Amino acid sequence: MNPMTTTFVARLRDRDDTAWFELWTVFGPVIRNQLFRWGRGSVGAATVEDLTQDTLTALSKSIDRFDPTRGARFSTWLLAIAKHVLGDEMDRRHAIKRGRGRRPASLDEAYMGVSYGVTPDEVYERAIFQAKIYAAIRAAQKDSEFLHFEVYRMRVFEGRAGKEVATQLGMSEPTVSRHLRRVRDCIRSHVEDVVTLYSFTDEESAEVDSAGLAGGDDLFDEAICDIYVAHSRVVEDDERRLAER
Amino acid sequence: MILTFASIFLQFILATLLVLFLIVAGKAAISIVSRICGFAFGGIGDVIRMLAGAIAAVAMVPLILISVMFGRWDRVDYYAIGLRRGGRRLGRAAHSLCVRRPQRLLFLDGVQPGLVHEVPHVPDEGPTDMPSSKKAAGGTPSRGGVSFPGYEVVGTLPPGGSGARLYIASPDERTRASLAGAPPQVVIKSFDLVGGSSLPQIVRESRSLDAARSLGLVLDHRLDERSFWYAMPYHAGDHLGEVVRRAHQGGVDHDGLRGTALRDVLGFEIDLLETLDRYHGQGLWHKDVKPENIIVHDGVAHLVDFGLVTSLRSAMTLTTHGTEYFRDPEMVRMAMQGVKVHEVDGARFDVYGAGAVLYYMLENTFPGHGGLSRFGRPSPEALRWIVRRAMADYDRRYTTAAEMLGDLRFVAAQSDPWAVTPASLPSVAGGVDAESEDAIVDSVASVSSRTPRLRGRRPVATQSRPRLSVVNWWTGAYREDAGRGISTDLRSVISSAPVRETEGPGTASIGAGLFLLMVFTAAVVAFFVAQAWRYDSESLASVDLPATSLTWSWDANAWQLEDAGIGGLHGSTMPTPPPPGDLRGVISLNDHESLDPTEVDQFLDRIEESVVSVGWEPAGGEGLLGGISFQIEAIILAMLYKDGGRSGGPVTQRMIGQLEEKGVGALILVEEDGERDLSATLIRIDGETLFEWRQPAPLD
Repeated sequence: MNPMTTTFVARLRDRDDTAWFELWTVFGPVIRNQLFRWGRGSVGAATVEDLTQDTLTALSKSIDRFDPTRGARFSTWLLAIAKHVLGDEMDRRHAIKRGRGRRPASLDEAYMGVSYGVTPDEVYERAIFQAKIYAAIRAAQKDSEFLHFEVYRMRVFEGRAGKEVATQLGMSEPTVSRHLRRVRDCIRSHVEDVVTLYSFTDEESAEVDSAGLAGGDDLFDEAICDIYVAHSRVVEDDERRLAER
Repeated sequence: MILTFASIFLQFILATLLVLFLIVAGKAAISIVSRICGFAFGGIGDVIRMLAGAIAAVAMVPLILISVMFGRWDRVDYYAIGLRRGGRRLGRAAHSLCVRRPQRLLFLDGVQPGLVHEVPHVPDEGPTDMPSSKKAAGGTPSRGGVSFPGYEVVGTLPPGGSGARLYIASPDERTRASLAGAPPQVVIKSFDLVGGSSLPQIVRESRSLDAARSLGLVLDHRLDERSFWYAMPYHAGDHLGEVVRRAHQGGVDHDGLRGTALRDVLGFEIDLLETLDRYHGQGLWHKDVKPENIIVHDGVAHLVDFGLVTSLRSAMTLTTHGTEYFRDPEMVRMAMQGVKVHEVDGARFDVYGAGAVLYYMLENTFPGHGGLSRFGRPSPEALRWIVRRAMADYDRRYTTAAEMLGDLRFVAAQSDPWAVTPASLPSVAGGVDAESEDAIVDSVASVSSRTPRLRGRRPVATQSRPRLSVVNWWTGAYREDAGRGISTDLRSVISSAPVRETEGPGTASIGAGLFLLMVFTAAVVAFFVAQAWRYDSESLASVDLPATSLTWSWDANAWQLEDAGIGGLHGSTMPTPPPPGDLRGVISLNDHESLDPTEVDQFLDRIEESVVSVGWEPAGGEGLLGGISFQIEAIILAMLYKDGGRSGGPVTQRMIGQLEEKGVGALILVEEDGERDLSATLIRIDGETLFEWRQPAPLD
């Protein structure tokens, strides 16, 4: 595990609020979405919200015993605990139906090993990766000047022509290009940091290349835009479910 | 034949008259007997009531004197109220015996109303509980058993998150004339300790009352020992969320707002920002800007709900209060880090809320991604820019509501808002000259039929934020450096009550120099007596309280989450409370049975450290949370359970009295508010708030 991840895990172990808040903000929607998919309609939004909290609670308990040398992926770590929490909830429901009590299941921590049976599907893996990149975009937005990021948003996320952006914002096209490059570099830097931060294995770190984020500027912008739009939909669906709760 | 017929008819008439006479005479006799009996028996009742009132009043006098001698000023107040009630009872009974009953006996009932009107009206001090069938004070009918002197309650509103009750009320003529703007109706927000409100809630709501009055947000208020209410302007209309929903339904689906609907939205946002600008100019922060708190009435948007208004210079720690999606996530992070209110610019958080409201109006949904939220419906590029700028990172957003207002006014002034580019906005282009500004205001005033109120109105000059100096860190009292004092001291709030003055209980009415000398001597004696009694060796565990068992039903999820340390307990610095002064002993109370014990323990552990570090002594001498005082917590919970969950109930009051006798000078009352935030208030036994801690709720 790289030093950044080690530091982050150490912060989690130290019960650093901001670290947990970060984890919650970045991956909460993905976990909720996954629990919805697993529940197949039998689990309501309120229960999913509770289960997501339980997942983070279980995470916080598990983090003290987490052994990074056993080769688990970050995504698997999250997924295994979410699955454990959901399974526990289902057991509880069945026990109630049978009219019996139920002892809470202990967390099977075999997920720390590479060969653990939980196999995250492609949708889940993609969602986790997109959540990381989305976090990088957020971080870049925070670090960039407002005007610069607006240029990038209009040009890349909204697909407007450089000339139109220049007209709207009262600047020359070369200035637009300059701002664009500055924000792109900022995002690249944050992508590297965030992916490193939330990756336990080299395999996870290498996902950046396969997603097109290691390519040229155009390819990078296109990949970032796709991820931004896709993850926005995930978050919007999640927020809508929470609001309808 | 005819004579016979006439004779029979006459006899019939006479018989009828005789019967009628007998009926009337019987009724009169019954009435006379009834009145004589009423006079006799009622008089006996009046005499008994007079005696009871006199005995009660006389009994209170020595108690007051004894309390004065021992310096027990809270008891003096208490017995003075008893004395006053006894005197009132005596006076009413005497009036009934000497005036009302003789009048009734002599059939002079009609004179009664006139005489009653001559009796000076003595207003009550707070909302009066009475059966709904009776009349409220001042002859106005009550509703739901509650009345407010000078107001007739005509309706209710759904309660908000603070637990207060909201009433729509019409002021009587005299009250109306005394209110700014003479409104026909007002909204009364009422807190009642007996009705379930808590002291910290009342303290929180009353903190910024003076400033709110100066803004015209609060028209009238009243505070007494068990209740607090204030009257605000009433705006009958739908909240902005409902208005926006209708506006979007009126157009093509997902086509956004256009034409008049867009102009209306712009007008609402301008109204909102003008209001926020006034708040900020007065050193206040609304803190809960959202569509549900904006009422549209006669085409004007009014920002309501005074519940979370905070002084921008407050020394308190930031809290996570507010509403998700309309509350800056950065504020949550800062609150978790224990940042103080005066260390940040709270006005910028209101600006974020205003941006979120504009997004909501344009999109008909909330901004789920904060500053990264996408626009799914067509809207003018300049407005999108304004939304993003308002919702940008804390350091990069509009610095003031006025700056954002300038951009919006500029857009509203254009004949085609869709043609406005972000580059032309004043905040981007570097502002507009005075001439253009006048043109903007005139254009805004005439651009829409919904904006007649703006016609001829000049732009509101942005008031520079007053520089405030805190003069009392315990009470939060502060003054403006310019010399015009604004005091948020609760006591000053009481003293600044409007025209109808309350009767001062106890020592307030005592002015004789001789008596003051006696009081001073008694206070000196009481001081030495208190010193001698301070250390009571009796264990607090032996307090004579009913033993009971309590079933704890915790929210498993919340428990586990807190146990995980996500709730924000770690990392923040606990603020330093004031030193104990002459109080020393303190005890902690948990006022809510639904609180997570782990969370409360951790919270109180940290409070213990902070109070002990400045010299407080945990009551019982065995640690604030260990042993004895923890038992006290459990007992308190049981007491509250038995007391209907009310911290101000009679059982709890009695218990507090017993603690006082044990030498406990102050309480730390731990409570949970509407958003599961934990708060702890350091309260003197006599009710004065000394300090407040706050623990943000877990993020869920």
